[in-house]
Amino acid sequence: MVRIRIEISYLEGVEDPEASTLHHNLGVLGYDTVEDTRIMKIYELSFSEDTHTAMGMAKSIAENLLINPVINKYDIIVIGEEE
Amino acid sequence: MKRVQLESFYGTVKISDLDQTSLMNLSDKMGLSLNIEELIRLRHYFLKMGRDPTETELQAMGQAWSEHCCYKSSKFYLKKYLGGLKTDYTVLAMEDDAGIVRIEGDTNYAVKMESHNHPSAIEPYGGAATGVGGILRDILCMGAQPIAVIDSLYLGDGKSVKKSGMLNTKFLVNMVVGGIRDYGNRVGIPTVAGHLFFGKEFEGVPLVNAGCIGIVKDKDIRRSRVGGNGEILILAGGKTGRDGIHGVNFASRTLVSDNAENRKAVQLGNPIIKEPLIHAILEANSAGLISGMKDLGGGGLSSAAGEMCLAGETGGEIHLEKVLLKESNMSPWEIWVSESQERMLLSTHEDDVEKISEIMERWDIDHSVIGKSVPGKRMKLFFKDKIVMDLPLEFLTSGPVYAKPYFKGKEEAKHWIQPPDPDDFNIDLEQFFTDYNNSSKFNVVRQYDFTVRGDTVIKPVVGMPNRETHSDGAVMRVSDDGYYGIGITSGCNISAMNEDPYIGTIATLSRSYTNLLSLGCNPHSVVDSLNFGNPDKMKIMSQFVESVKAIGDFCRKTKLPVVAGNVSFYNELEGNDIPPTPNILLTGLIKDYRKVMTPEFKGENNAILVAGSSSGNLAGSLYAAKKGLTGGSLDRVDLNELLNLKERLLRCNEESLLESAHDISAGGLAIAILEMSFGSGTGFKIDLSGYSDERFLNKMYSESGNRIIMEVREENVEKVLEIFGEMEISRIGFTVGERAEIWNDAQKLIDLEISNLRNIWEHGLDGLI
Repeated sequence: MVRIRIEISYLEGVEDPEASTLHHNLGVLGYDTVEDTRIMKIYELSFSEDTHTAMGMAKSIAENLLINPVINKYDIIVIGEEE
Repeated sequence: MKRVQLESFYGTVKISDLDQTSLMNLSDKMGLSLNIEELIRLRHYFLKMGRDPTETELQAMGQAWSEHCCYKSSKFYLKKYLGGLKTDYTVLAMEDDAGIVRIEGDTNYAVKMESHNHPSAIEPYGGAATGVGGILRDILCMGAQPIAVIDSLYLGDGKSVKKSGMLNTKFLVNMVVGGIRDYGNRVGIPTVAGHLFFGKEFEGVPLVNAGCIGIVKDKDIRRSRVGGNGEILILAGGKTGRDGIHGVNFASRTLVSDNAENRKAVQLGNPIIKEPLIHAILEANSAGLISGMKDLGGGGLSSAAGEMCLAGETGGEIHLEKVLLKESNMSPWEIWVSESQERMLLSTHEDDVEKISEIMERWDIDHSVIGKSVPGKRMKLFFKDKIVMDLPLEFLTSGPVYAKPYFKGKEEAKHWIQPPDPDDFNIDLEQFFTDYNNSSKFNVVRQYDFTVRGDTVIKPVVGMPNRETHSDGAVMRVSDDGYYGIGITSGCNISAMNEDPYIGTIATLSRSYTNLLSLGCNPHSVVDSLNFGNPDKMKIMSQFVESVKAIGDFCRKTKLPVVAGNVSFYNELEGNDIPPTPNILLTGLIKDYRKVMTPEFKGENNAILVAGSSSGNLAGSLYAAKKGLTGGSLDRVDLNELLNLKERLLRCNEESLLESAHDISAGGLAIAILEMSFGSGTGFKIDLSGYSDERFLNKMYSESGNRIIMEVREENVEKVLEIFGEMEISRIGFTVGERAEIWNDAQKLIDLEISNLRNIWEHGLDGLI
């Protein structure tokens, strides 16, 4: 079994209202050395496949279902492999 | 020839020795979307100046001369047919970002509608949300308090095969509605009216038209111009980023699937910045601190600063490094043309800068002084002490105007639409209701907050609790003093537009007109949002010209001003153009909103009357469209009858003679009368034998003519008939029980329980959203 993590974030330059509101409020609370804030989504999927096939499937899942390529990008990370 | 020192300009691009092919390649590479004639004109201009343009100058020209900014394909015809359509109560028409129309005394409303089609096609959530955000700023920059948002959506029906690279219809519908909901609800302005149409023609090419209405006193009206020389320019609101670069260029060409260049053209809005921005701007404006302002929409700073200075007859000097940025490493041209959301450009007197700053800080709004207006008529841009642009404003805004040729093409023979009678009219009617376009739009409307601010008198959903129906439009309260109400309706009759752009446009306008009459409102002003295909095709240009001509003819006849508008071309995918879609936002007034009418039946044993005539023609009707019958010959709309109808209906309402009223529009008499029943559960019994000599099917589903169904108490019937006088009016039945009974020639052809039908109607969109 392979456990895979898909991280979805905004492309550079896309407005992220949630992150900018958080960043602003951190400043209000006195955490004014926080330079930048980004928020992203993480999906964890377990596959009964070999790592290579699972990576391919995760890529296909991300592109077809989880992201809008116009505003999002994604990273795929293998977080666990079991026999 | 004058030689200019090249060293003083930053980032020049050599175009003087480029041939035509290289010029086109350069335009493509830089994403300018200019054609070869325009590029040659540009090259010629800079040759005369004795220097090459800078990157910023080329980008600024690409923006300023785009279809979106300078209306190069439409201006000629708009001027020709809609020029001079003003009334004595029009304060500002087709001049600034929104039209301003007087209500009474010193109170006015500001109104505007715009399309946000291209962004919504590739990022529906952000595209639709920023459509709302943009239109709010258009109203705000006139100095008006926004009171209502309107949305007209034309979407694919999800029944045809998805085109490659385009978004799935269900996803798109949910995201578009989600974008409007999240932006409108969070910014605290109610979304009160609109239109929703599903058709395969809009698959992959959705239309998202957003409108807004605001209220403004005479003293608070601000023009989109600087107040004179030496004024300070302040950029307030959101920070400037790389989002939305080339939005206008992108909107000025045809959509291409999977085009990476589309990506940067999309923006996501931030209503959390917009809400306080509205408060801050209105506060500074009512304190008299702002001499002129403009929102940053398509074209960004380039378009806003240029137009403000040109209109104020001054030049401008802007220091781009003073613009607050989201990303630190932006080049000057990116700052100049970025279309990042939530930004407003304010012009103010030197002495008032500090006071504005105080207000902005109190509302927590980012702002910075970016430049000033100067004598002369040039726009000069600096970036860290280097000149990045120095151009005369007149040249920058002297975009080409094309009188594009148009030709209707060979017309196919039109015929009388004659669908066969169904075996069972009851089943046929039930099936008709399952169509997306005939079902209730509650699944969409109920996502919007339509009562926030507490000014909504008539909501989009009216009737008895748990038995609501749709109203003919919204009515908004104008102020705390007096009872003036503004009626709002918006839409387009697509099935008629598919048959004939001229008659279809007139039919669209007359439908909006009867919508307002049914509310008891007197139609007052027109805003058009014109959505068409590729104007380089003569057939599309012909549709556009016919449609604009129709708007002009209708408004001259009904004495309505056209106060604002917008044109969106290139709504085309893989060679298929959308049907001509002139979305009309019609605004009306009612002096006493306590007299406003709603469509639901109010009680039993009241007479049901139909005013206005019909030819029984099914051409351009939803029924014909559902049966796949096109190519029908549309009837011309009788505008004299429409004016008669207005005068008589409003008089009946003034004298409180009507219990309810509803116009016969999409779906014909059958749908209209049932929608009246759905709002209260009260049934009816009507006999159409004497109504006309057409077939039963035609009487039921024809959408022709200007007709209104009225519910009248028995004791008032005679008075109503007297007021209508010689105008065509028929008594077709009465309200009773909880069933829909429709008779024709002594046969009971429809006999259905209202609650069952309502159930089908209410859940029609469940599979989609």
